Amino acid sequence: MKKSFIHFSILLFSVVVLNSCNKTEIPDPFPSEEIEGCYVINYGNWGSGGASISKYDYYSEEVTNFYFQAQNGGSEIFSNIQYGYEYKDSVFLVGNVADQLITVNPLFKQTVNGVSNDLETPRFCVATEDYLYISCWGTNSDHSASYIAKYNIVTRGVETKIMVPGGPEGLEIANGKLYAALNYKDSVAVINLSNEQVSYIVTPAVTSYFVKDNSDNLYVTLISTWSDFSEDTGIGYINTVSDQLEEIYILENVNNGYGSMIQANADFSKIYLVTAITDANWNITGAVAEFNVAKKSFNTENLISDISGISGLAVNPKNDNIYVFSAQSTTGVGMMQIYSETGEYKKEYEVGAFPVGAFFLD
Amino acid sequence: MRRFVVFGLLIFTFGFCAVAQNSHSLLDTVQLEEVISYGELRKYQSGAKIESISLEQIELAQEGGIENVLSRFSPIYIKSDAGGLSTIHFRGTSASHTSINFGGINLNSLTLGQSNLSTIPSFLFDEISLQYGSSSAVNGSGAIGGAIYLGQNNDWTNGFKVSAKTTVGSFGEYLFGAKIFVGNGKWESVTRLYSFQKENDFPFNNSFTGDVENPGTMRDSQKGASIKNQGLLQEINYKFSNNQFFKSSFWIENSWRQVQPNMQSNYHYNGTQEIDNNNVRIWTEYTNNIHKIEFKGGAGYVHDMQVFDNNELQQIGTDRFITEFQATTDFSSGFGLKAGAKYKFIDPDVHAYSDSVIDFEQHLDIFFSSYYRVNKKLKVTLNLRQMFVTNFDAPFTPSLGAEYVLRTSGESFIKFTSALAKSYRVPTFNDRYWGTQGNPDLKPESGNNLEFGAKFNSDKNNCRTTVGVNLFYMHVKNWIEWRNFGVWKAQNLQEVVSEGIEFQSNICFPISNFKGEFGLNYTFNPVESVKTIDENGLLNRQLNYIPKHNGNAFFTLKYKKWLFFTDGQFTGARYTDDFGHELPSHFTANCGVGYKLVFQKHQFDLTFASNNVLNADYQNEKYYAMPGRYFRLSIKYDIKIIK
Repeated sequence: MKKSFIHFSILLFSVVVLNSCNKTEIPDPFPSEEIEGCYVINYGNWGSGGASISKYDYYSEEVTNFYFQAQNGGSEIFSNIQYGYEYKDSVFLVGNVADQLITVNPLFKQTVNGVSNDLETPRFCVATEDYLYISCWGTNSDHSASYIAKYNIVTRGVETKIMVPGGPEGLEIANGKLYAALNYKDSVAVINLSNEQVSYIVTPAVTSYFVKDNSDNLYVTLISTWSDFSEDTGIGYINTVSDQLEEIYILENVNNGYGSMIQANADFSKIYLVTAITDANWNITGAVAEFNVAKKSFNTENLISDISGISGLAVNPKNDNIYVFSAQSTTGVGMMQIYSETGEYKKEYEVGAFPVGAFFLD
Repeated sequence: MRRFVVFGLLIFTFGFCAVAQNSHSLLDTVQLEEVISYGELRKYQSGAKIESISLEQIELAQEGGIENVLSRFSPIYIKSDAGGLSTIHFRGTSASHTSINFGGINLNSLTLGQSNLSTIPSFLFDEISLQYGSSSAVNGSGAIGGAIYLGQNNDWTNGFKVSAKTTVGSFGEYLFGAKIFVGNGKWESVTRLYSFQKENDFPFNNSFTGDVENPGTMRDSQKGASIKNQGLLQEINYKFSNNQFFKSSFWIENSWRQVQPNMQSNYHYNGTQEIDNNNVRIWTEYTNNIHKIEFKGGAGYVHDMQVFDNNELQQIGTDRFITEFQATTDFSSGFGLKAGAKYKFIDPDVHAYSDSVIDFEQHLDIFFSSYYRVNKKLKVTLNLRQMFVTNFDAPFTPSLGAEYVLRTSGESFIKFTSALAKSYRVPTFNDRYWGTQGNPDLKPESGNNLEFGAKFNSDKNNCRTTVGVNLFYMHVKNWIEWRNFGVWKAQNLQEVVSEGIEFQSNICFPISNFKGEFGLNYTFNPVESVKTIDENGLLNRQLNYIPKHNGNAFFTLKYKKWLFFTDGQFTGARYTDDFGHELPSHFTANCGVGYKLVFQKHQFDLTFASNNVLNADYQNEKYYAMPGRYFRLSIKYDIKIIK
């Protein structure tokens, strides 16, 4: 009896000690207080949820999927996130179905409700001073009523809708003007921010996104679509003083499936553009082409190739590593592959459903 | 018409009658009931599992599309939202793997390859039959998981007969429908028309608001989910003689609906899109059974047009011309052959197709069927089909079936069935021709289907009882899905194995002046991808949105002029993505009471019903609200002036 009592006491003691060790030695890492890292935007499945944020800590080389949920007590993101943008210590997530602008702090904690008033099919955003300009496709499926919403960051409301028919997608602010790439019109819209007048720069193809060089001039993607076919695909150079399309740099096989993906490295010596190759059996593989800004030409060989289901591109401004995202379905695991700036494969990670891009926070 | 068919089939089933010569008449009665509408199918598909949903059951769920009937009275999983979009998943397959047949027309869209069941009104039909498993050898491309047959019962009206029904339900639901039969015994006109609308502004618990300032579930009401459907089905039939007749059906259908916003969009509602479908379906058929070789010829035309959100520039439509001819002969009561051909000319009108790629397409099916009764108990059938498609190779498709009848008493028997069938699906027009993403190099999906079944049948005191179980195994190769390969395109993506057990029972029990009927259906259906070219695709796990467990039960009790009914549906948990997120299982129940009032030649049926009477809070598609408890009041009026 005494022996049994001793055994029982030892067992009880062990359970208590081990249990208390568990509590002290493995703390719950969430919510995290670490900001620095790469934040991957996983779009999910349109109308059926699945959007998420994956955080990649490039020091510990660990990926945390469903990071937003972890930081917000398990709450999901109730929109398919199209784009993420950091400005004035806030992160703005542009979401579809529900159409809304979600604002979180750099730790991705959401404390205020998303804003949906006057934001119909929002796509992209860019900020200056106290305003966020958000491209919206509106409710008409022919994009005749698309617009740029002028959102006041302080009052958290849309003040003005600047009508820009043609499906504005990518935005950039340069030389005090707002530039909008149009997905359904062979033009770039130029909005004078002081009087909100809209003028257009005619392009040989529909346009999608911009990168801005160190002189405040723009490179815009020129893409071919089914409804607006063009052979003049690649990138165009816009002088933002004269608002002229000064040069076109042709790159074949750029279409609307992936043509929106353009990024530049930190010192703007290289621009990366996603392209694709279709073989004789109709198999398509994605690739990343490199544009040498100084030479004003694309390199003859793709920097990265043989990516199946390419869905996004990002460049780490700290080290110019290139992050290529891919996914073949909107409900399955997405992939993040990391390459050096010379195109050397480094590593890959599983991320959330349908990653479309990433941004980096310090 | 019914008398004629019954008469014709009586002759045709002479072989069956032979069995009855030395036994009870039960077997004849049961088999005859089974062949009234689709005897031809059964005659040449002896191992196939074909079940019918009765008009009585259809009338309990006539408001809206046939998905209401199927989900309540069959063990088939229907994925649906509340806003008028429903797709069928027969034995774990996709919606494009079920052919839906109206006369010689497969209703499935040639562009999408599938049908929205909510746009097929159950009011227009008197019988819905279901064929489980592959039947491509009989129904052609697409019938991999199963087939649905929409039936109209004609009885060569000699006089005048009208049936009209109106329903008022919760959340702005209205149905008005009428069926008008006029004829002189030779000529017959049957007019069926209906109008159905639903505001669909039901309340629900919204736990997906994303409202961080007022967290938790809030009471919300559905917006932007209205439905308005209307249709006219006109039949003109002429009987030359009992062995020679002409039938024609003209069906015009308009289905309009708003695209139901998901719960998060509903909370931030700022409008939604509309989908407008217009369909014209014409089928005419001449049957001549005068000679030793009987023949039937049919011709039809189908116009399908869908406009999304009033954007006339983005039309998606097709026109189809169809002709079919078949000849049959019975060499003896135990051996018969059928051979025929079906031709389709298809003219697509789709904004995203290039005329240089596809201007028109032609399909030709050549088919051959035979049955052979080895002895009084054993029958085997063979079906062969070869399809030819413009610039596309379709596979040769055979199927073999057998059935064995074991009499257990004078009033009961067990039928053992077995079938082995190949199946296929030609890729849809969208798969092959959509913009720059169409993939002309796609292979047809191809499947092998094996099944065994046993069904106990009994008929006592005018009460028929059936209890059956089926085991099936289906292996589908070159399963097509749209995936992102840099651009979104259709690809022969994976191999899928679907297997399982289906249990079905229908038990009738008279108690004094009461007549009760109880039915129980259950399906256990593991469906897994066993091979995929998707680098991150999941293998050996249940497919998304396919429940492993699905079942329903119904109970009706008749007492004099009263009818009491209740039914319940269980849908098992379903994965919604590859990360393992699930929709939990749910159970919904319906009940009601009906009273029949007869005054001379006039008959009124009053029915009051409650759907989702237990007020289950559930989603059939993740993030899409479904209505809680709601009510319906129906009045049906019938008058018969028959000579």
